[in-house]
Amino acid sequence: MKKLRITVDGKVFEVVVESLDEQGNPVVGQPSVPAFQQTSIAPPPTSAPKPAAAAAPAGPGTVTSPLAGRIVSIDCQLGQKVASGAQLATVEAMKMNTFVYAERDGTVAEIHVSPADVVEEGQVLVTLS
Amino acid sequence: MAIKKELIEELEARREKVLAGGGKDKLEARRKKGLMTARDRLDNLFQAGTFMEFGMHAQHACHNFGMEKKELPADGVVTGTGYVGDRPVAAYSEDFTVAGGSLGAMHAHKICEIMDYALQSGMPVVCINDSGGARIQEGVESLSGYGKVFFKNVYLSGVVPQIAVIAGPCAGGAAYSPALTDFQVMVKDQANMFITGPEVIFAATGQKCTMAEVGSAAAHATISGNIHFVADNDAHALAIVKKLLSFIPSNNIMDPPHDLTQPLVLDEDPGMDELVPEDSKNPINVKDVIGRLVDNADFLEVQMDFAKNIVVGFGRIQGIVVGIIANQSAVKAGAIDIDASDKAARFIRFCNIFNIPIVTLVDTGGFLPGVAQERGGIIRHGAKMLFAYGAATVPKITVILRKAYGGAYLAMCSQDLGADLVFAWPTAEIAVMGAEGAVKILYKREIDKDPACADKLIADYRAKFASPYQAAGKGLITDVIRPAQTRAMVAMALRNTLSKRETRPPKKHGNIPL
Repeated sequence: MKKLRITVDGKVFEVVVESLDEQGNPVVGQPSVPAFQQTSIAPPPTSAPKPAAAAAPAGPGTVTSPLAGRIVSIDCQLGQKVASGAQLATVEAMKMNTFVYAERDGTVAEIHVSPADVVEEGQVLVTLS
Repeated sequence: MAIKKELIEELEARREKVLAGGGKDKLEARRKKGLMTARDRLDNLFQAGTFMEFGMHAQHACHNFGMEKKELPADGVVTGTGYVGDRPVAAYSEDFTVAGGSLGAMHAHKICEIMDYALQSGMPVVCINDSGGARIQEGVESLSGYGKVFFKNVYLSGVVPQIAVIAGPCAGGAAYSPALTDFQVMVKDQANMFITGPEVIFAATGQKCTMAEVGSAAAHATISGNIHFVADNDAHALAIVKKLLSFIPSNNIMDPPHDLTQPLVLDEDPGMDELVPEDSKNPINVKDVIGRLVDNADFLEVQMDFAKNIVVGFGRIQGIVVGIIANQSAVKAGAIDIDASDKAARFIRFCNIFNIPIVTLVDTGGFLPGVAQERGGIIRHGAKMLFAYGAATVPKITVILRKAYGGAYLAMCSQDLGADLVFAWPTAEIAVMGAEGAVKILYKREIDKDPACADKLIADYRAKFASPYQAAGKGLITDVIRPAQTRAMVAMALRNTLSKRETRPPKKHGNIPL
């Protein structure tokens, strides 16, 4: 077997390639495990795994405040189409602005708070449809 | 006269039988499923041909429940040493194809033997867990086996690094062995780890839950904080282990693998200036700062999905291995909460054990306020950070990027907590509390009389105290530097401090608030 790293559209895939004979059996004489290569150290994981179900307590489409604070601005409008990662609101807490982003694509269906409102951690700020 | 042919043949036959584990068909079935076998994992970890096996011919001694008729090759765990890079490393790998990788007396004995060898020789241990749990047929001997392994984990802790890979099931008491090691790498989808699983939880409490919620790699990486790395598959898990080993020494009396051959470069990095937003209230993604600070932007982040308001991990700064602890102002305003304290404190203690210099990047408004935090014990959790920094005798270099307020300023390795050198950017705000809060206390009477004056008082306070110069004036800072100078100054500081010697009064151990 041979380990190869392939990049497609910037995404890195690691694949294991095995030589087979006509009957589909592994070619004998080759080690059956990927050979160690000094240079084959893979990069550390870069994408966070999605948290388990427990991490989304407020249901789908709800965008919540990550911490207790005061609303500085609502950075989206009712009916606006937003893409995943779009900035929806700004919360000030601990002398710092925290931006709240859309976790998925959607349309702004409801805005539950206004600037200067005090919000709790986990309070719903915006609902996406 | 050569050795008798039959003797060689017998050896080869015995070897072949053991190498087949639970049977060639079972090994192939695993590979077809995309899983490595116990031996594949070791072959993948070690350089080809360097594996030296310990106890290949070990046999169990159980006579209960028909076990006397069963042969368990290697007793379900492959143990030995091999080379990772140019260093020997000890490892054991449980074989799920042999009696479900279950742990019996001999299995535990083999694990303890290899750990003892690693301790004596001063080499890291990689523990690859893939076991159904205790071997019930062996009864209390199996339980005792777990106890012995736990004891070894504790005995080795702080002497040689221990890295656990959870590559399959790891249930009940078995989960405590990886938990006692320094780092846990868990393979997603194929591994789970729990003390009580969904069935037992339901039977005991009536609570319904899924395995994904309580035992998956995702749950442990994001919510419980039990593990440090999530791997996509076996090969990825072992790549993470190798990467981790590239930053840490083989034992506690060796230095980490620094590369001191390269000349010190003191060039400025204008890109760092550009990372700093004009508005001090806007967050900096501190991972961008770290990316510019470390060599080749090569940063191995530890627990990247847990308590994201603090970032910890390993890198090299002009060749010197460092552990970095940084507030992440882009998440929860960089405030320090219970989870962030635990995460940082554990990392700091690892670095201290293994002589890894600590670089701290400060940008936090304080400890996170809230009922849940207070009732959850932020005092004793936050105290872990203070304790860990205060007790660390490795080189400690601190850079105050921006906010450094109150107790959190102290907790982020301030000079008073023993930092050897403290640099501050001109954007640093070092103060006992924020301007609004301070003015409300200092000028309560004036504001009660004339609320309109508050804004001016706040602005005055901020101008005077939200800067590095008050602290610098009191001798709490080594120097105020431009962000562009950070990499050069930290690199030089590290080289200068590498020969640091610090001794403390002898004691069993301090009493870190747990």
